[in-house]
Amino acid sequence: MLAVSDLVVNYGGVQAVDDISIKVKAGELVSITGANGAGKSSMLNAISGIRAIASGKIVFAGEDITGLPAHQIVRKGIVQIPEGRQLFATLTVRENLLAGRYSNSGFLLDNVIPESLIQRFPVLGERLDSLSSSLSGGQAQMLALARGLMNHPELLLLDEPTLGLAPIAVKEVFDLITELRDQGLSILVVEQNVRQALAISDYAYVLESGRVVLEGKGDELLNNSRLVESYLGVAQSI
Amino acid sequence: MLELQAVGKTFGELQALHGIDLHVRRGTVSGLIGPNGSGKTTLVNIITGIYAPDSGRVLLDGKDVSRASADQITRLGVSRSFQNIRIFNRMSVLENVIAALIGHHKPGLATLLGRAKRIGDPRVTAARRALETVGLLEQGDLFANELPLPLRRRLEIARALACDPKFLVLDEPAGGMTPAETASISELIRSRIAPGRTCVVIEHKMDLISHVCEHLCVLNHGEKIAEGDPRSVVNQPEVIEAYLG
Repeated sequence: MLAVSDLVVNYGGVQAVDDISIKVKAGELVSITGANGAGKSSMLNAISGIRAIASGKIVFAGEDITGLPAHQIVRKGIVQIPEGRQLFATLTVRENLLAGRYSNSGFLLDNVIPESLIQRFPVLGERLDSLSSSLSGGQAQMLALARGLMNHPELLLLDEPTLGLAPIAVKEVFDLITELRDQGLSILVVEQNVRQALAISDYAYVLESGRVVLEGKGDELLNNSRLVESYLGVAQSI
Repeated sequence: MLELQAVGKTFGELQALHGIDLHVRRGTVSGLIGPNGSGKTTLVNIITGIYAPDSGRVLLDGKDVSRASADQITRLGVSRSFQNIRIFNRMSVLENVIAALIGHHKPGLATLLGRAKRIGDPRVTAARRALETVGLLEQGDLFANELPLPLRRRLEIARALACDPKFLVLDEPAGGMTPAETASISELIRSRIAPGRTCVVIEHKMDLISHVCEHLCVLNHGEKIAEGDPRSVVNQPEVIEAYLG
């Protein structure tokens, strides 16, 4: 589904992503973990076309999408849910959802919020006419996810979807991600809740200083002592 | 040290806090946890004088400060760090801490900063001491936005520490951090920041809470649903149901 080869991304004079190759197979949930500054978000932003790449190749569904602008990459079926949700605070929940239905040229394609989406996110259904700024952190993250799904993606890029959430809301987000994967969506997620992310991932990569230092199946990495040493550092307190 | 008596706060139709009682003993570290939207930040805003409570009282060292302004509360030795880091990206790390001591809203901040640095102002000494406490003294001349997130969090804490507060509120000091980074900030709080102070820590990362807090209070829908020793609190069914899941 997605193949990134030899990707290099420069950011503020440093190589944020230094020759990274990763793959996401169709229907797989793949996670990227690593310390802050390891290059995780830069890599996602390069895939979605928000950040220019220095070199490397990105192939999606058999098509070379390297260097395409972000709005064309969305049209190919890749949707990114940004870190920090980035909702429109002065718009209602309904308007935020419909923001996911605008064409590249700025036309509202339709103003239908599918019933299936409301069933998946009942809390949003109850609050369609509330301002998005009135939502709790967990609800806001659900809205960001739902807005992304309005675009009918084939590959979802999630940048730290559990940031700032209480443990119970973190579980809800992980349950939802698992459910979406089980229904056939391909997902690439950047996460700092390492253990929970690895536990639900089909495959995972650990980044350090812009490079992949470790990769493997999620449950294998969970038990890999080198991961504990090189990245988690403090396994005994986790 | 700090006592809240039946504190309530309403925003429009939303009752953010219902009759909260809280007692933070001098020299202890208390944790405040709860689901998103449970009222934690509202409570901190009341303690620090940003909001006045609609009902109930806030006592600091026995003195009623329910109606005191944020400035007055600060002068009584209460300081806080913010969940959303509030630093000046294009100022140096040291200047950020000095600015916290001078006060952001004063006109001519740049002039004051220049003067403070030239004449060896005591505020510079205080700022350096705060940076040393959080382990950032060597990075003092870097631009604040050159720091990676875990060090920006430390700078945010240094800004709160610069006035040498006796009561410190830390709002999500490990927000956005990985497990290893969280362990590091937990140890810093426990060994360098908490000693000699009274602290309240808001955090979702239970590793940090269990490492630094002697007392834990849980909010849900603006009500206190549990408090006590952290280990016993996190095993209470209502806490598991509302917060831990």
